[in-house]
Amino acid sequence: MLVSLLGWLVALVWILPFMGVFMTAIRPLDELLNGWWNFQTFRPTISNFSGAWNHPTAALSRGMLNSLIVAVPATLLPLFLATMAGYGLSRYKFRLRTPLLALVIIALALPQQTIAVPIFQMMNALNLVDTYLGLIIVHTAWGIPWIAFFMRNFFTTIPKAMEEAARIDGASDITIFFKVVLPLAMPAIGSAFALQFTWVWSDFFLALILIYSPDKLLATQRIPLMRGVYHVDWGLLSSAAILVMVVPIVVYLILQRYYIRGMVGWSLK
Amino acid sequence: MRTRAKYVAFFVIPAFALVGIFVVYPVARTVVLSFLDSDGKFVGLQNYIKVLSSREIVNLEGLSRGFPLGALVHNLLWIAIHLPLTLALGLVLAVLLRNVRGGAVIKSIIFLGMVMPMIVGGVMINFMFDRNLGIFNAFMEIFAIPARSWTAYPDTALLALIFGSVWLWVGFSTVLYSAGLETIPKDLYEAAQLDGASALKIFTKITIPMLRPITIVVVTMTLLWELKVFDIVYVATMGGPGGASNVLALQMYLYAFRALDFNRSAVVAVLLTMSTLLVSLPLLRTLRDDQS
Amino acid sequence: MWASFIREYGQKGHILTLNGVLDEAKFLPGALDAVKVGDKLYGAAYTGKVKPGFWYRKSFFAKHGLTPPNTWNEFVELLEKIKKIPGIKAPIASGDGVGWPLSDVTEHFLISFGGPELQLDLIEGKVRWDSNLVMKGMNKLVSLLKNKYFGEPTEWTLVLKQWWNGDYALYFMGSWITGMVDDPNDLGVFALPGANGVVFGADYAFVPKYTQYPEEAKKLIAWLCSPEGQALQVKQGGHVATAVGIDLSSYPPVDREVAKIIQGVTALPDLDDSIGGEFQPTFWDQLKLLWVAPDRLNDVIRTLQEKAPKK
Repeated sequence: MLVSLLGWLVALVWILPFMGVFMTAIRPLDELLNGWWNFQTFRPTISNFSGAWNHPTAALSRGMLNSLIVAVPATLLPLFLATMAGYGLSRYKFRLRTPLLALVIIALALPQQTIAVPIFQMMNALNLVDTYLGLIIVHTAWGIPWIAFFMRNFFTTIPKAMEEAARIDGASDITIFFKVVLPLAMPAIGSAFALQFTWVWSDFFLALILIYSPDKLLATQRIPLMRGVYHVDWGLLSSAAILVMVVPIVVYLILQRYYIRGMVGWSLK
Repeated sequence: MRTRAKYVAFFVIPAFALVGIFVVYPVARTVVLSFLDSDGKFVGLQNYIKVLSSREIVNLEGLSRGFPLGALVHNLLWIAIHLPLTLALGLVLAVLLRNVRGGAVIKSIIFLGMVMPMIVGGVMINFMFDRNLGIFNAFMEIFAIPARSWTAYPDTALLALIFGSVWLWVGFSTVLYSAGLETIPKDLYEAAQLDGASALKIFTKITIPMLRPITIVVVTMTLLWELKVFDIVYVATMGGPGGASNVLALQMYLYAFRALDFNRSAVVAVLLTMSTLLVSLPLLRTLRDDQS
Repeated sequence: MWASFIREYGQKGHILTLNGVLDEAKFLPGALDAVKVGDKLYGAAYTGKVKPGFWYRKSFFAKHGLTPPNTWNEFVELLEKIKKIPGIKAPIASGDGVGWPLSDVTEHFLISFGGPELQLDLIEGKVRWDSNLVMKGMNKLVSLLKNKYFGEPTEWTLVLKQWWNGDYALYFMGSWITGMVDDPNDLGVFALPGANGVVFGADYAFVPKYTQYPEEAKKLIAWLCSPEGQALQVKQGGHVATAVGIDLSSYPPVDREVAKIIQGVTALPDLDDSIGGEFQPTFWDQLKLLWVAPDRLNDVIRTLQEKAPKK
């Protein structure tokens, strides 16, 4: 009993900041001058949300659209390529297999800062700076190592019986991959999707390096601009923060099982 | 296992071609850059000496007059405070929430901090510690400590960010330890209880050792975040005031994109990378052992 | 169009020179410097926004029997008087965001005690931050900070509301403040006594070489930027003229105060905007430190000198 109480107390403490940000977003600024927990007057309004959504210089509507334009391809593309790579690494024995596996594992630890300057110079040379394509390519290349590793681990847990049977029936390896293996891999692909999508959506650093036209800025980039460069107050900033975090949180809630399993799965056996 | 070369090529080459061009090559280039000067001439370790002796990386005067202590020291402090806290708190919460009704919901709430973009996380931390709107001040009132914007003062800016990051990231250790607790066989506990072991002894002699693989993962991942932290600092304090909350990743960015000094920035990037590789070694070793 | 753009494209030959088209004497000293390369004039200033000084609510001053100061000592006395008013958080509100308006206040002190030339010299790296000239203004600023005459740095739009509500008496801000308050007519402003320069964000126009009507364009720009043309623009409110000799009555009452302040002063560019690079974020960051820890002045100066442009 006491334990339950303690548990819910912890939950309350953890959710307080969210409540605070929410209150700040739905209440006019004058009410908040003495703290959002004062409820002397309470006139909720959605004007902050519409203000952030339609802001004249940092409109979040545009920002979230831009983030989506980047996040969807930057999730599907590496998912596709890395699943194939993961399969190749698990099912085929070839000379470069161990080095490639080592490369993949090393890439998991790399900070984005390590590639920042050369990537900027490369994209500049390719005329892909300030384009979504450039950013998508980088996210794809960055996501492949961990997804390949993740899928490779998953494939090693699947018995090869079905693939062998199909091969005996005369199917080519490629057909086997697409018709037999992929459907089996759906749960893992779901996990990888959830993690990669939320990861790309939440990215700030790579966008900061590669995107700078005002109308092209992603949702995450608009948030720091609201800290004082533009005429924005805490109410607008809070509502913007809520709008930007709602997307990955919703993805997480819908795909929670896969998300957690993905995170836990490749750490444990 | 088959060595059908063309199939290997089909499955593996596209992905690794991209990685080779857009990950491996840039990393190599950064390493090279760190040994050159702005004209492209090889200068050996000169850049490294310059960077490691500059006040923004290590500032020992801070030991007497207070923050800033330099970005490198700040990252180490982040590790020293955040890592033990997140391990302890995560484990305690995992144990606590095992038998609580709705424990899964509570864990989801705690985990939300991990799901949100870290740029929003930084805004949340700023918000928590704000003078007018922050709950931290409301809490401090209980102890009669006057309100202030904790992220605006040199002596408390970094600490505010570190403790804020505990709120953000403890969900990871909680969820992982929760999963790990489930994998400990019940009969181990039963046997120990039959032998008359105390709860504390069971905890220290069974639970913690059995959780070792999880602990390695949690420690590694957490260390990586503490070393690489960028978004939070960028939006909450921009490393300030007066560099009091600067971190290596941010300094790397400032060198490259404000001072336009790509060589010094490459040095910081290399130092960061070496630290992250070092930190990942234990985990990499266990993973490699499992694969072969 | 930005002055730097005009200068760059002027040098590349895409812009017509305006020497002879405009009467440079009719402009505030310094107003045209930003669009000149050598002695070729590529652009003309019409109106702009300034950062004139400390704003206050006339009603607030009237209520508490306060008057704008004419000397430094009167200024300090005013601050001391305001500090004692019940309900006041601090006499001067400190707006913060990325780093300005803290930097604007600091520049105002540097200019007022070091002279308008100092601003330009610092931009070019001709003067050191630890020189006496700079320290004059910085020490005065720090003396006010140490006496807690400045409030804690607060997000600048939030603190605007608090200042309007009476939590603070003075707020250093740019002339665009007139569009941000409910009752612009209640606004009053004064500069630090002795300020001979003001930071001016002028708007510039230019004539591209490719225009089909070069003579007409030149005539238009000459008129637009002449005292007559500018007088018409300022009538609309929210603009401050760069031309001299415009009658104060052309201005709406609110802007008149500002226009009065800038009569005869030198128009200066913003310090950190002009230097940019690594200096700007360092400047902002160091000022945030200075505001909450004024005893760290020497540290701050040392860091600023490290990152300052060198000639």
